[in-house]
Amino acid sequence: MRLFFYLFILVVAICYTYIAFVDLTFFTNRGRMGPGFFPRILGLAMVIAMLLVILGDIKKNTLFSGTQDSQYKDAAVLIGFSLTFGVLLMVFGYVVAIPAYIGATLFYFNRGKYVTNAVVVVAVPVVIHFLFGSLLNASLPHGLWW
Amino acid sequence: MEIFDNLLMGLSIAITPMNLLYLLLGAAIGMMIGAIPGFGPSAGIAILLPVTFSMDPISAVMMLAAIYYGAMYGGTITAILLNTPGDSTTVASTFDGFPLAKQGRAGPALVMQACASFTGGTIGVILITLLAPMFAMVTRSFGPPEFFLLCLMGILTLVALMSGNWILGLVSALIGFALGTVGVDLETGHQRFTFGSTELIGGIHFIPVAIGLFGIGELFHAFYSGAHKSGTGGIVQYQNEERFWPTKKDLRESKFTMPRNAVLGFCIGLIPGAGATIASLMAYSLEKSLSNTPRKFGQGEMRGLTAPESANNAASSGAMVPLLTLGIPGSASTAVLLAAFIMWGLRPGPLLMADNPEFAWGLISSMYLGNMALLVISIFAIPLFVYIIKAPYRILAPLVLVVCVMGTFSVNASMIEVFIMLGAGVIGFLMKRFGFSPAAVVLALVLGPMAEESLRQTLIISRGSFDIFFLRPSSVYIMVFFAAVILSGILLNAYRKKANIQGAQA
Repeated sequence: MRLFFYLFILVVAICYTYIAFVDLTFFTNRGRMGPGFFPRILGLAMVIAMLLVILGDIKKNTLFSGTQDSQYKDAAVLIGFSLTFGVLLMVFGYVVAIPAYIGATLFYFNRGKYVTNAVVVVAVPVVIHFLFGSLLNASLPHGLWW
Repeated sequence: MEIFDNLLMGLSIAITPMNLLYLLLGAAIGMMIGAIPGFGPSAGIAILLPVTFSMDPISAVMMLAAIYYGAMYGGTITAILLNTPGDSTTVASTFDGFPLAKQGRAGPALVMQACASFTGGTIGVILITLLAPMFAMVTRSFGPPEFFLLCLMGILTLVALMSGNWILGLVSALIGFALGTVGVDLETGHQRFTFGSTELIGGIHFIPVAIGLFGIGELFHAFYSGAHKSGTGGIVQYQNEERFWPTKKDLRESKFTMPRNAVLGFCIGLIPGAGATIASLMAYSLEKSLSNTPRKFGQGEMRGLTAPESANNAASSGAMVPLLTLGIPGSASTAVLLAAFIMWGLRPGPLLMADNPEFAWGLISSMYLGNMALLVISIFAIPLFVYIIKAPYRILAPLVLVVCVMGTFSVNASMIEVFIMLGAGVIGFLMKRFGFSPAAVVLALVLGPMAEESLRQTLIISRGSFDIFFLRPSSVYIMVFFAAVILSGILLNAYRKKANIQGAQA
């Protein structure tokens, strides 16, 4: 997992640097700092620093540690639920998405506590509606069909 | 005399019923957030920032500041009762706090930590009152070169003082700076890294990134580390205690410990990037070295608890000085506070105290009242906080996530920002897992655009020459000062490692 994360950052840093060199100029026509001045320096520094990090981990033999870690399972499930919640919120709005998300999360992580889970599933959307919608007069996501 | 007049003016603003209500609310919420393991003041302020939109700016900033120092009080409760620091700033409090609780002295330990936090916080605010106007006067002569150096040095200090791998800290800071370059370049009008998206033209907003990295990232990490499985009910070291109050001996032993470590903590808090964690660990080491019975430290010595508590609260006050007088945040929490100030149309910096005295002095005065309120809340609401930390994490986590999502959406009614926040949450979790620094990302995201703008102005003034940094005396002083700070970072890290080892042995 560590290796994948390092590679992800390295690839993003390389793409950032590429765009900074190709699309953005270092100086303006007047010889002042151009839009690419900062990004080019940052991009190069990021690529070099990430390479140093990866080399350092290869030296210390820690690059592949933790790849078989089973602890990721619960975090991955929660991340999956959360991203699905984002999509549900965009499509169906908070009235559907919040109970669905809370219900799914509690069903998975808090098994057997049916009464508690049911109370939370009902109470949270109501509290959110009154807190954000009524008390704070803030926008709430109503979805595409509202 | 002018200071007292200003302070009275500030008190007259802070003491209105609505402001007092928000102050108390902020203090109580801050304590609750601090009491939840993993949630620090930065997460608390970031999550609740959107909730303050409908408020008057001064009330909102007072409430957010109260959340900031309230979380410093609350973080210790879990350190004492669960041996789990609420935030990194309370790591040192576990060394003697938890042994005290195991000896059946959780009540006296909690009361003494409240007294130490109050002493640290109040001495810190007194020092802000005395020093902030002087700082503002000195920094009025600062120009773009000095601001650029302060931005750069602030982030470099944070990186240099990181306890783990400093290259990972540097990468984190670079990621933050890079995120700050997204959007339209103000000098040329050229779009950078927007990929044609109209939502990104204004840049990546700070709030979703901060909420994602601190709030959501912490939640994911807690599930990774299994916090949702264990619950906390079984290991809370607190019952309705008969011997709740500290003894005279406890008070006598700590009477000099609290003020001296408050001054130490405040001085460390003044240095951008240093922060309350280092202050608390240094205070612990200092108190141990001054003690005639150093062997008692780590086994339930009250001074081992009051010293770091006093220092970390004073450091959080100290960090407000560069924020108010320079507009430069020294920590992730003050970076989030800076975002709040800017959102309310207030620009912290050398002119803040002259241009917006009612805001600056209202905030400072509210901190006196806030500390008093927190002392009372933290002593008399202990059973309530014990109840909160017994709440299972697996139920708390989805609720917090829903509040984060709704809060982020309510800022600009943008689903893109919700997805940026969720993405930042995943990245924040992996960063924490692999030793990167989410705090450096957030600090650099705030400081990056400021650094770029001031560098641009500097190079225009100097006609493209970097010599200007060596020709202006104030620039040279700043560079020398920060070189000393960064070099001393090695010593501070040695202190921290030593204290950690001692804590682990204890």
